[in-house]
Amino acid sequence: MINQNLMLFNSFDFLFFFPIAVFVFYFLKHQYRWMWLLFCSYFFYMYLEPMLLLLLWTSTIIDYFCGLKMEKHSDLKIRKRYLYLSILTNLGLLFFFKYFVFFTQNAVEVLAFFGIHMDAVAGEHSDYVKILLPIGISFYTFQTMSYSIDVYRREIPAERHLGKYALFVSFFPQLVAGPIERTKRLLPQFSKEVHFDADRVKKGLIMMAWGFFLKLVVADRLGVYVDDLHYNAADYRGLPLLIGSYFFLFQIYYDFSGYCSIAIGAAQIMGYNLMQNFNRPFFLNSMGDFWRKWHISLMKWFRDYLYIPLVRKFKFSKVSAMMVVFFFTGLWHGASWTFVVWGVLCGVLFIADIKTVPTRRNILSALGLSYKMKIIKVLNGAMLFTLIGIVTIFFRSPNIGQAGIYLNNMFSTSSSTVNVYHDQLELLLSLFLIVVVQIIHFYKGNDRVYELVWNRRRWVRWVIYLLFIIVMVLFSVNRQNNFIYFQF
Amino acid sequence: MKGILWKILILALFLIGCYYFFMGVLARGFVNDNYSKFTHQSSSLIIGLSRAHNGISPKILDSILVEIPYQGGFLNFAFEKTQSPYGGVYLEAIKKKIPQQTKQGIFILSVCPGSFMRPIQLTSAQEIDNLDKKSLVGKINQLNKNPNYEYIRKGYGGSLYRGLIPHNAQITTVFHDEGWEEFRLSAEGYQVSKEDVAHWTSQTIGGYRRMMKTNPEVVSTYRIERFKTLISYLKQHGQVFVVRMPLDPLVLGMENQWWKEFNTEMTLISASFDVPYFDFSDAREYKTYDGSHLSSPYAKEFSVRLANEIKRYYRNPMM
Repeated sequence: MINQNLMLFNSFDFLFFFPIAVFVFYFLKHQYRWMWLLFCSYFFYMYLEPMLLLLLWTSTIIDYFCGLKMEKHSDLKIRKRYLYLSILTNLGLLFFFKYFVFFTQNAVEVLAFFGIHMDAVAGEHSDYVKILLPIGISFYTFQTMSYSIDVYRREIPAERHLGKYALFVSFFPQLVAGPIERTKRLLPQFSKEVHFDADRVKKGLIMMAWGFFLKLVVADRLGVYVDDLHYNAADYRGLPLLIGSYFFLFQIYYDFSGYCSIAIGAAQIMGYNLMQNFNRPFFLNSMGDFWRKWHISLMKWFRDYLYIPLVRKFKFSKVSAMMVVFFFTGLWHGASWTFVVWGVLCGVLFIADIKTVPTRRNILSALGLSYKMKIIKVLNGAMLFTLIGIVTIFFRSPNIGQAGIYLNNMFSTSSSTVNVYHDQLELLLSLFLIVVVQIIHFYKGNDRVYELVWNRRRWVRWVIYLLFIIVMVLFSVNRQNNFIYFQF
Repeated sequence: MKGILWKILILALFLIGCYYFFMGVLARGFVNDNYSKFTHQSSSLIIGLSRAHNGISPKILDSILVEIPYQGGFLNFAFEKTQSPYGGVYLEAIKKKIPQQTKQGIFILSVCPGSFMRPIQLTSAQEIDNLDKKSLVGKINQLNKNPNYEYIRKGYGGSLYRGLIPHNAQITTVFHDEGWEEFRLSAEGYQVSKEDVAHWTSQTIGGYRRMMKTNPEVVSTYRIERFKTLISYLKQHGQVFVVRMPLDPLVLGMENQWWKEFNTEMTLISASFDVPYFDFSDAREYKTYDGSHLSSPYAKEFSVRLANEIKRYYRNPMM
């Protein structure tokens, strides 16, 4: 379970916290700024649950210590020992707080299957089911592990400044849901002096505003439709469920990329650059293309620290290494079979897409068509998008059974009710917003949205700002929903 | 830096101004089915879950109970299940709804097993309260404000542009200012058929079964204790009636299976506080539209019957 008292980016608490954080940051001398940011980051995290700070500190101190030791020793065996200590600590925290209940429950069920009943120990009333899932644990443990592995590989020097290292682990804009930053990119930025730059601040503010728009106006609106379908999947048939699967893909994209825009914008205001996590993922021509553009920081992490070692060091075939990566991608998202199935199915789609390319090419050329034709590209993209939408039903469903009901009903004769909102205007608005945002992302990418305003006349900029505020106020959905990726 | 701060300040003020302006526009029209429950206090309340929310009309009670001495102006302060099971959170909300000087209020406490359940994994009172705090009555502190901006922020769940277009009520549901949600069987261009009712009833039953399988709930002694505290609190402000609403026999059968001694328990609690317990669960003449909630004509008939029972009790408390 997740404590709900966290400081959401879309909460009033954050609206007070963030300006104070920025204001004080720029009034402090460079040498004190890391302390202020560290204080803000810990405050941001403590706001949720003070005790969770202990986990963050554990991960920080052990990795800091291991980093220094790995740098000091040239003996590979000793360095490896510290690497294992770092990895085991991080994976241990992750396992205990995120996966312990899942594995224990499954173990109990497997034992029960063989006639060994352990209900008294692991029943629903025992305390282990009440372990609080520390928010952001999947993100910061992966970030600190990447530091340890990079130091072990001698790709980066160990950080000697404990405070700055602690800030790297806990930097509040990206602490709870990424992007999962690399040491090389982020850590050195904390040592560079930042000067106030009005243009950079404006760009950061525009990125944040765009992120809020994606979350509050688009993602939360689509969420109303998707939630209704998933709560009442048994009541619907056919088309509405298919639309729901598309809507959920858009919802999760706008929700997470909205969060990332806010995080990137917030960091930018303070003079720090975070990596882009999305790059127009729905303009895709293959599954590989999609995964290169979707949750980039996580997929790069798995590529560098799992896929490449599996293939190069452990001699896995590319296909089996890819399946391992997708299995863990699914598991990383949550301790549930739905995420595992989702990950595995994504892997199957990925491999099937690669393996069937020659056959599909042959079929197309036999029909006098080619992948280079625009219409084929569009149809191919639509097909891939539909397939991703279908497997992502597992991601959204509370359990495999519900996902089964959803899928089974989706392939039945369509029900008369297509519009789950029961409101024509809301459905049209949702479709309109999806199209508009996709067009903006197509022309400006995920990272240059500020160009819509940039270099325009002052009065035009002000008209855009004021209209944007009115649109935000009128069309935001007042649900105060968590960002979806906060739960991971 | 000064320049950008001024610009941010101007835009922030514009944002806040717009927000409150459009919330005000919305509040002047129709917000949603629960809004009117959060705008004023009332000396007489209908309390419970969705069966009471759908099934008891405050206006009808007020119109029939004029002959007896009570502080009228009933408010239906019952909500859907997740919003208002008995517990510490609902109790505190109810306390805020009643004017302190009330001495002759009437309080109808609708009961059903669902009012006293807790998810199996939540064992302590604190955990149950934390769950309830996420509900409508838990997260809104200002329960008697008009316009209630806090409700719009936390409980509305829609977009403010709705305030700018005329409200089109859903075809079959009508929301009354006194908190009653009326479910009509026919409306312009729409007629609820027997098949609809059968389908919704089977969905309700299926839903209960699924819930008990995937998300099982058990009786909470904490909720029962808080229910007793509620009765004793309300008795200081008037007369309490514990009521079990009519429902479909199949759903009743399921409920009686989950909690076999429910009626006995309610009878005992009511007797221990010397308040009447009206059990209408077997009253087959009142039909539901989904197995659980009374449709408009039956809700009206039932409200008349309930009012008459209350009147009878006032005339002869020893009945």
